[in-house]
Amino acid sequence: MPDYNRITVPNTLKDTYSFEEIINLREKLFSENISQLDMSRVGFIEPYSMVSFAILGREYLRNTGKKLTLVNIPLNINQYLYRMDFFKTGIFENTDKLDPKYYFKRSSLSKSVIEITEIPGKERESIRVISDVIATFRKRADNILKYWLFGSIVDYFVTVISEICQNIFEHSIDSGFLAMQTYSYSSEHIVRLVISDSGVGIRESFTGKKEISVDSTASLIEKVLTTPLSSKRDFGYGLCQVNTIVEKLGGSIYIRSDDASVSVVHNKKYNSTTKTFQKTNLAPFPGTQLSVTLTT
Amino acid sequence: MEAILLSNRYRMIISLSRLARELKVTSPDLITRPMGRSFFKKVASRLSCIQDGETILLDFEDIRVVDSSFIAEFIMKLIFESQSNTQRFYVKLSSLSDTTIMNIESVFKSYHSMNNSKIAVITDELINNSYAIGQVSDKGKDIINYLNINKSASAVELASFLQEESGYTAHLLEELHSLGLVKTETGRNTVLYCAI
Repeated sequence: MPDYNRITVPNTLKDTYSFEEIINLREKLFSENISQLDMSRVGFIEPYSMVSFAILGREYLRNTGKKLTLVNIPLNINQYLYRMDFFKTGIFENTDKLDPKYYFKRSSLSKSVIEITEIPGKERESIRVISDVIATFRKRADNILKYWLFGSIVDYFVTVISEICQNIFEHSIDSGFLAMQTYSYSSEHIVRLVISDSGVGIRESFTGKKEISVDSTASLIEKVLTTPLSSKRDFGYGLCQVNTIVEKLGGSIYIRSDDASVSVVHNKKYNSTTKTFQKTNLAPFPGTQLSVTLTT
Repeated sequence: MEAILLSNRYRMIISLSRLARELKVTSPDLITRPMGRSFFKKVASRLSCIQDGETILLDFEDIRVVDSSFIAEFIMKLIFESQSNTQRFYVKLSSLSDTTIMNIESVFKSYHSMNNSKIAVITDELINNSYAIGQVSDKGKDIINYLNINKSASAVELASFLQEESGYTAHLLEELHSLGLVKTETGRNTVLYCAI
């Protein structure tokens, strides 16, 4: 009998929706005292899944005092995780240390990413990190947004990064992570900005606002995207402003918080239509995960 | 007071990029509530020397993004202060980037929708055919544009220009004045409305 419990991670780190399968394993991680995650089946990881995976590992570390160990990581996945500074977060043990000769290069031309970065939960430190992230983004924006370089798009994304990151120290009562990447999937080019925390979640942050009545967390998420509500002040602008910008860019927003998610898809190609999809009764997951996506 | 240049008796020009350097902000972006609060504190400390009727010109040259949090803590608070200060002063914005304009418009719209109270500010450039951002009616914009060219006019002249009744025009002018979008000056026998 091995002295560890291991589960195999399914190949579902491909997008926001398939990552739900990983969240469904969360309870098992704790109840079966899992200590190793077999990554051999994972064929692709995109930024939302990577950041959410980090949130999951951090929760495990906080609750058990132990790090989950990743084993049998395919070379391309390991290269990607090293490139995104995933292991620098100190959340996971990695038995498959990557030989530096296999590292992805970090030349100026390959900088179509912002590596995973912790956004502190305290105001002063957080502002410093947000400014650093934005400075990095500005330096790399020509590569990150190379398929979307028009008008004020770089400045729009600066606003989005700033607004969402501030929500972490203002509302979540925890720290979070940010990552951004341009990648290709099937025949599409995708740029995805992900900002997530493992804090109290949107519903709980609004518990003091009795005047805001909604029937579900998903409805509340949709409301904060379309109405200037704030859990701390008379009104707030952040998520509402982000939604306005994403609408201008013809992109999509995905927000998951607690046991609900909302996707808002602004499609410029088809008569500038906007479609909103709510999901409720998902497996609980701490905090708020947000992803902004543009596709070609 | 390096950041403040007095170009004439009635105008205080504040360069935001210079103020940013004073506050050790090296980025071209003015973001976050705490940063907005520190900028407001810095400017508020200089309001003691402001004269009644003076305009503060906020020059955003070299500033790329002003986010909604900064707008709420700096621009909006300065506008509210201009309306409540014992010395009435006026706020005008200059050299705004497209993103900053969009963010200000959005914040003002949100404020209006949640608070049922109007907020607007004068700019030194035409934005969507108007020298004001915020909740201003088309007739109000016409008055602001007229004053921008003619510098000052009486209520009678403005009513004639708008082809509106004097009562309606007076009400409109009162609203524009209370929002800080026009100034008043007392002439020989009449009150003149002036551009900011």
